[in-house]
Amino acid sequence: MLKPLNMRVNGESTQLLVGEEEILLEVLRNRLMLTGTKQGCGEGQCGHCTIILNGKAVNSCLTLALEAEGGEVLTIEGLAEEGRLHPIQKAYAESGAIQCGYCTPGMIMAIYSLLRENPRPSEDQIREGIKGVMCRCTGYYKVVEAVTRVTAGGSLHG
Amino acid sequence: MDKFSFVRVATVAQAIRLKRDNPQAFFMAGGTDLLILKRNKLIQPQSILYLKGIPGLAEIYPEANGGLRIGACATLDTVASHPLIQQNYPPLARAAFAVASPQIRNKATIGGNICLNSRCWFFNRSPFWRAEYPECRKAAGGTKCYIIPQSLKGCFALQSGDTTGPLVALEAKVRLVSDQGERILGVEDLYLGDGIRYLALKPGEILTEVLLPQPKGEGIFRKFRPQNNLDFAAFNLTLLSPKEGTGSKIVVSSVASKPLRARKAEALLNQGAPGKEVVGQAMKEIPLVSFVRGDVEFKKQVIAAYMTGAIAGSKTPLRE
Repeated sequence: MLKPLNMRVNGESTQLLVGEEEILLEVLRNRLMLTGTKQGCGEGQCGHCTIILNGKAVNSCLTLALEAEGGEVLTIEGLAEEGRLHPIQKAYAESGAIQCGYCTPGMIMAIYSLLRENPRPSEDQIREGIKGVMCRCTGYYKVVEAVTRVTAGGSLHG
Repeated sequence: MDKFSFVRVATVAQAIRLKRDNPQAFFMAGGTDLLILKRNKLIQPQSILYLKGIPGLAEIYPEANGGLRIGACATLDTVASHPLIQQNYPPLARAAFAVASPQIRNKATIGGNICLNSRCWFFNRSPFWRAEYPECRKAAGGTKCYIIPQSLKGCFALQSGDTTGPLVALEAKVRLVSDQGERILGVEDLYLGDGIRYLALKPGEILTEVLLPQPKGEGIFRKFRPQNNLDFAAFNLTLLSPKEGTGSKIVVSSVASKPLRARKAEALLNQGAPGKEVVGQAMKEIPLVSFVRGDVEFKKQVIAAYMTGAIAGSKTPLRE
């Protein structure tokens, strides 16, 4: 049965009808056309589907759409403001942390969540923070470098 | 995905009523394991009763007797970062932090970790992968066991929630509610030691709360996995050795269908026996089954080494 789903996605309130068995990732990609969020393994290991739901990073492949009822969703599309890259996105590009790019949206959302909770993470804390996202290209070195570039740069919102 | 109904439950009483009316319904909190089981066609829920919206069920608050209550829907992230848990029950905070990734911990709950379906390297796979082999006893119609291939019956799937070892060691209890009323059960008694019927929950019962007694000292928790990745544990070790009294605990979990206590070794530890003797006794007591990334002998040696280190550490104030 289709049920109404009301949520805010990247700051805009959104109403749509979804199937009770629909996964949030599918709704974001196939219904709202927010294809920045990727599907990888579909079982919570690769983290490419990471989004922020009610302030916390979660695997959108392990979230039923109706769990987001009344909630606030932030995806990679919601980070840049007025055409300006978010500092994490900027640092990511400058560090060459994007290679094939498939993990990048999930990785950036995981980093966003990490830095919101801990603006000055140690290297160990960075590695724990990005543990839920698999990258098969960079060996994570460039990713860690990107995070340190952001934290060294000071303001997260500059 | 196959279709199912999704009900956002408002109260525990409503959850119990809906489950009574439809015994095939599944309770879901974080869903990080349930939705994968569903995807892999290992469960076929017709109806999901979503518990996370129940007011108050995720709260953590201290009790007058010095203990702590943790609502079953508290996320593992909350448990890992809660100041009172970090301060008074460090093995539990560490175990919650050792689960998978931040993304999973933000969603998965302590109640779900306690009730986690038992796992094995064969069962928890996609239908495509499993189709290449004869089905196992935990799956419908299977006759094989891939954990103990020579066994004639039974399922030896591993109880794999990381928080269960510390909860057993800390003598935690759980509150179980059904339409018959409620009861309090020790976490240790919650596990039946069977891979298929792994929990002592009665049909229709729901776990609402974890009750921790007054803290009796610190302790050590170690999760061993061959790689520092999101994996479930090859084993978990929890060691408590209070400075006063006789409350030593040695719990090895994620190696059998229930957390295992080395009771005779605990008695030796209480008497202040040398570490070598305690470890020797513990390894004699703990029945280990096969290990997917190495044989039992290897696993024994690693557990013994971790235990030796933990006991040596416990002679000084107990900190990891």
